[in-house]
Amino acid sequence: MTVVRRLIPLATLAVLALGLSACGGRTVQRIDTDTQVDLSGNWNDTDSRLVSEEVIADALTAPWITRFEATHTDRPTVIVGIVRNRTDEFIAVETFTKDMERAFVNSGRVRVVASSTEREQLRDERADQQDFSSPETVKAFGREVGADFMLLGTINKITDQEGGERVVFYQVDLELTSIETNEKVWIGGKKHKKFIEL
Amino acid sequence: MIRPIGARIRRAAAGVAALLVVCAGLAGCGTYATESARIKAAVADGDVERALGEVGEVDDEDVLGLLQRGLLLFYAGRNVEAAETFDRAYQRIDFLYGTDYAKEALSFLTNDAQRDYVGYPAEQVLMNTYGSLAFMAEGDLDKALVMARRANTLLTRLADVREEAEGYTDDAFAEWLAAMLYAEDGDANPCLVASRRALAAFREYEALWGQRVPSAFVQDYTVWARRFGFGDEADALVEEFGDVARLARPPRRDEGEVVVVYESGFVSHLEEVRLDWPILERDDDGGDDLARRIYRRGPRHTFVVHDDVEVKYWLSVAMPVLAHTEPRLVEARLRSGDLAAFTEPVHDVSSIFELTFEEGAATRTIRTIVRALTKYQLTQAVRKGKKKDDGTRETNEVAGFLANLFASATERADTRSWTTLPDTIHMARLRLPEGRHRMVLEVLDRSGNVVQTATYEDVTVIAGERTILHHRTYE
Repeated sequence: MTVVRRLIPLATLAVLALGLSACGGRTVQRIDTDTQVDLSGNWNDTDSRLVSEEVIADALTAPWITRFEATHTDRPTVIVGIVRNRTDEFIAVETFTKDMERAFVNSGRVRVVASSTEREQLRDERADQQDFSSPETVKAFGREVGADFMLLGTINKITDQEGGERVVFYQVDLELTSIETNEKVWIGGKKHKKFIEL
Repeated sequence: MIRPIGARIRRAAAGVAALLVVCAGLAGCGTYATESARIKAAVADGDVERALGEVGEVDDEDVLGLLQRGLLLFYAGRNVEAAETFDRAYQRIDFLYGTDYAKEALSFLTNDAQRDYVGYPAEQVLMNTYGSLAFMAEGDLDKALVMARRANTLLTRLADVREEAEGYTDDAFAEWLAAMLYAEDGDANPCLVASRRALAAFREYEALWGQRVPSAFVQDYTVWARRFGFGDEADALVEEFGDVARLARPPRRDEGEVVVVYESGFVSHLEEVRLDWPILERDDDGGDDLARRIYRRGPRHTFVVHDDVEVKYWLSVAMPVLAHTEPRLVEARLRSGDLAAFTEPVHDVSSIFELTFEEGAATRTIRTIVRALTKYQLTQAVRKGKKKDDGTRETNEVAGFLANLFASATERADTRSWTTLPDTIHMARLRLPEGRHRMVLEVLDRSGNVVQTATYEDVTVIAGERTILHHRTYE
């Protein structure tokens, strides 16, 4: 009986502590961007980085650039188009499409032109300039660089789950297609699998 | 040692106070019921902003609050915020997919409302359906598809855990909506798969509560089957549904579609039924017929306590039961000039909620019985005093009383549910030439009289696209 009597206040305290534990403040610390932190198991920055690293390395070493250079006097020009998210997660695909644009530009071997949405803004700006900018600085219409290739892609996801265990398989497919001939000159991608204990 | 009476009273009073604090924290449901009633009253007044104020900002851990808030944001036309709120609820539910053993154990000592609310399966699917509708209203196909896929993920998970493929195994409205989005995206296979699943689910609804397969769905399915080269499937639909399917045609090049989503009434909700059964001192003799004796004795109010009978324990049991109010307004007519279309029920939210609620009845009953027995056993353990020198035990009446008080006060039915949902979702659509149109929605009562009119001035119709309008009645 004595034990039980002692337990009642202890239980009371435990319950109150449980309730009050939610009142603690939030702590934030800065960590290195390469640090792998997986919280929910969903697509995150690490997944995005892994995809970028693999596809960029592949895209820049694949023979499509040298083949193009052999028949043309200039470097190939690419539009990074839309990568369709076909998963049940909200994935910010721009993180690795921007990585790809940066890698293409910085490599010096590929020219990148603005995507369709960016072009709209640029054309609006150019139209504005015709009315409002000084004649010596106004930019002319009809001088845009036409792209040779367009990069399009998809992200798919397959989930398998049993009890408290989940396996998620992501497949990112990217294709570089000739705008003139529709020929696919490079197909790259990245597959990865995650095991999540719930 | 003989303790002074004053000290014993103070100790008992302190115990009662501590217990009341604990009970107040653990009962939980009282606060929920009050809050829920306030929100629902504001919604019923058509005052969405006030209802949003009642819900307030919601923590990520409060799934029910997120569901209520998400729906109200959708009604307020704050579509992106609504979808983001449903996304937060989805993430939380996904996070809670495993079991929180501490809360499970606590619920056996107190009540089921101590467990994290993850929503009934139909609610989980519906939050994604609303998320899809919100993104559709914003014209964001990709994000609407993400929400539709989530609904599908949940339905697949649901089908996996079902032992028998009966009841709520699929969601016709969610599948139909997904098929619409896949069709818009030009994705043939998922569109046809979702259409087939929607038809199967609609047939099941027809068998369960007589809801007819919506003709708009039959027409969509026929058009998609022909468009994606599944002529045989379209022919089968014509054979089954006659002219509804035969006359189905895709929108003309210069046409767009105006879809009105009309929601009526309030979804069935849960109320508490509570019974307190007396267990008497003389029941200590046990016997095979103990359960029958207690049952025959009847709960409080039917059992008469005589002077010569001593109640040892009040066995409290609280269970949630369904309550439903039939909506008065059940149909609407969408008009634009000479063109008119009547709404059809596409999602009987109450019937589906009731189905999923009933499916959990056996588990709920077992949990309630186990909880009642656990509390009873604990109370008896507390009540038993020290062993005396002669080998008998003294009884600690004060401790026993307090334990019984705790057991009874914390016994609450888990009446939590997404109460702001409508009773039924209806849909109507009109195909109109591209341009700006004045649309009128006339809400009808059960006799077909127009009792309410909503006017949408200047609705923009874009060729090949869909414009979503929304209206809700609460009567």
